[in-house]
Amino acid sequence: MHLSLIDGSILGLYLVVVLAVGFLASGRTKSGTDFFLAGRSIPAWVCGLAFISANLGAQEVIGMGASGAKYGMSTAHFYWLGAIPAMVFIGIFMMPFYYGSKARSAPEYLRLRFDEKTRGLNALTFALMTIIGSGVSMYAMAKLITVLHVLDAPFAAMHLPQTWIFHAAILASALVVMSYIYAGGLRGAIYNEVIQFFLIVAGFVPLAWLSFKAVGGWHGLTTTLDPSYLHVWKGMAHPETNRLGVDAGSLVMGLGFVLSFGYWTTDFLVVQRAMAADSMGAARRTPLIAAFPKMLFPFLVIVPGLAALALTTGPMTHPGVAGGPAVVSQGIIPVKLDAATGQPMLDSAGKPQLDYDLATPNLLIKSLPTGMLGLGLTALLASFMSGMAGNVTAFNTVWTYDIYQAYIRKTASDAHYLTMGRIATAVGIFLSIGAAYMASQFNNIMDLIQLICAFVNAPVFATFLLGMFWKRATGHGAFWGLLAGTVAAALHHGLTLSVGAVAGIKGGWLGLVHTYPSEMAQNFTTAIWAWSVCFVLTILGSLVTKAHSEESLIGLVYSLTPKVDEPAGAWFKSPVVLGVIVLASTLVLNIIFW
Amino acid sequence: MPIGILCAGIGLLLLWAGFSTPPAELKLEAIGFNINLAWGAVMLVFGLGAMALALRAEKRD
Repeated sequence: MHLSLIDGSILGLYLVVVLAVGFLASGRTKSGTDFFLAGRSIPAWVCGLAFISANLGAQEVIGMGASGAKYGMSTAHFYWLGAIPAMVFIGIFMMPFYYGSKARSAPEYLRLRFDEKTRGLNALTFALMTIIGSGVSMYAMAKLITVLHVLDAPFAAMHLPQTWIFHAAILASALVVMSYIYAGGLRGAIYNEVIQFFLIVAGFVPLAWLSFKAVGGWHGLTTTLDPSYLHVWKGMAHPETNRLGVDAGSLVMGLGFVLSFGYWTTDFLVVQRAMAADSMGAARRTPLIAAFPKMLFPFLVIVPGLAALALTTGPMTHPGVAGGPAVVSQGIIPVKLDAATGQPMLDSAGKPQLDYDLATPNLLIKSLPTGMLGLGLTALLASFMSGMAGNVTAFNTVWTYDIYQAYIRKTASDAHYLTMGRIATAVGIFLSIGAAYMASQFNNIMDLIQLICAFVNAPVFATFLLGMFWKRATGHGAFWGLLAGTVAAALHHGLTLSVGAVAGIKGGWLGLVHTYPSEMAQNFTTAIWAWSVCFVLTILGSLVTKAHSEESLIGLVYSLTPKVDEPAGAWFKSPVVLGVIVLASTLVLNIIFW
Repeated sequence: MPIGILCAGIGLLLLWAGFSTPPAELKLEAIGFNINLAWGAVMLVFGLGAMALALRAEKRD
């Protein structure tokens, strides 16, 4: 595949605009508050779109398309169960404490509410997670460009080795993202995330529509694919009767509560976007505004994955949940090849495994003509860049305020911390490049990042929950509970495996006491253990240690904070009204695709 | 304003692609119509609308 001049021009125009936005934002970046919190001056709708865009990293567009092809419509649980309720909860209940406490980061809230050690533990693990997250986005983008052979022709024309394409893609994306964050800080990143959001929608709406049409619409999907691909809840009573391999209890508790709330309500990567809002009302509306497009994203990313599978497998011949793709043709999704032997990889039933990660990119290349192809590829790059930028801005803030200012240089001028923020941006990008190369050496980097998320986000959700809603929770209880929750996650992971997995990064590295029907069931249960142990031990630890004075917790704990009435305004600006509309709409979608 | 400029710019490039690309490369048989022209027009209108709204907001401020 080669890009035409028009395709290249679309990509070039996008790069020029994102760099220009960064430099325009630099004119309004004069202080630490400007750089790290965008001066707390961004309107709600901009924050809302940035909130969702910062989440659109490598896992979202490519990963959800791949899951759509592999698991079908039940992938929508990651949106309708695993995102929307948590986004409504943070908007209505938690944002008043993040925004109202004037904390500059999520770890700083933990210092205000608990103590320094709890903040330090969260800051360190979170900083590590952002670097790996940014590196994985970078690696995924470079790998995609290499696999799709997008730059083969220009490199050949310049007599450059094809092996340089991977390095050039990493370097170019790193330079672009670093330039606009270094210049414009969080404001530059947020405005670019809004641009990236529109671009992703503009690129994926035609792809979703064309692929849906090509497969014959919903009727075509029902006649081509096994019914288990087309339902969200049907068959969820037992792991054996649905494609995810989990039961409804683990799904609701693991994904719908622990992992979802752990990510959407405590991960500073997304919370930072809401904290940049120009008022408390705007901060509360940010996740709720984001929830509207998030609710509809399954149609943009999962439906193309389903269509790619239908176009690959042809008419259904194998009914039943256990039945995978029936007829493997030379369709959209290629067969997965063994890296060592070059031979097709087979599953336990002896059937060829499909390389689902290429479902969306291949669909893009095979469905779209010149021009639209440039737009689609630019949308893919935009999703990777927004994911990288989200991680880097969160990293530079947590590093500067929660590690550098807290432990290395406690008192310095605002200008000094602004300079440190810019240095942290460059260092964060440099470390991300290292993480990207580490990813290229390590087959299971995506498993590793999911594991780190389960270890970090799941227990810290219990810490935030008790911190905000139980005034008796103490710093010692929170710290030891958080540490124990993380250790519990590691122990559970080390003692269990999923069916067919080999001991190592997939678990079982301490021994084997239980085997789960799927990797997802194992991940959900790891998160449930981490959250439960942190929750229980934080309560026990708090009850045996001295409580904080109630005066010191005003503005930090729900029961001690006076309820501030929102200024009278239009009904559609009320967080509660928006929350009810979002939840009701999500319920309707669940019923339609039951 | 940058959103408007980007969308309008991409819209114009898609229109250019729609008019200049050989029919065989437009995948007309599979798609049924010239999608570059249709989506290019949508993006151009959206971009111009976003630019107009941005200009109006600037004047108001």
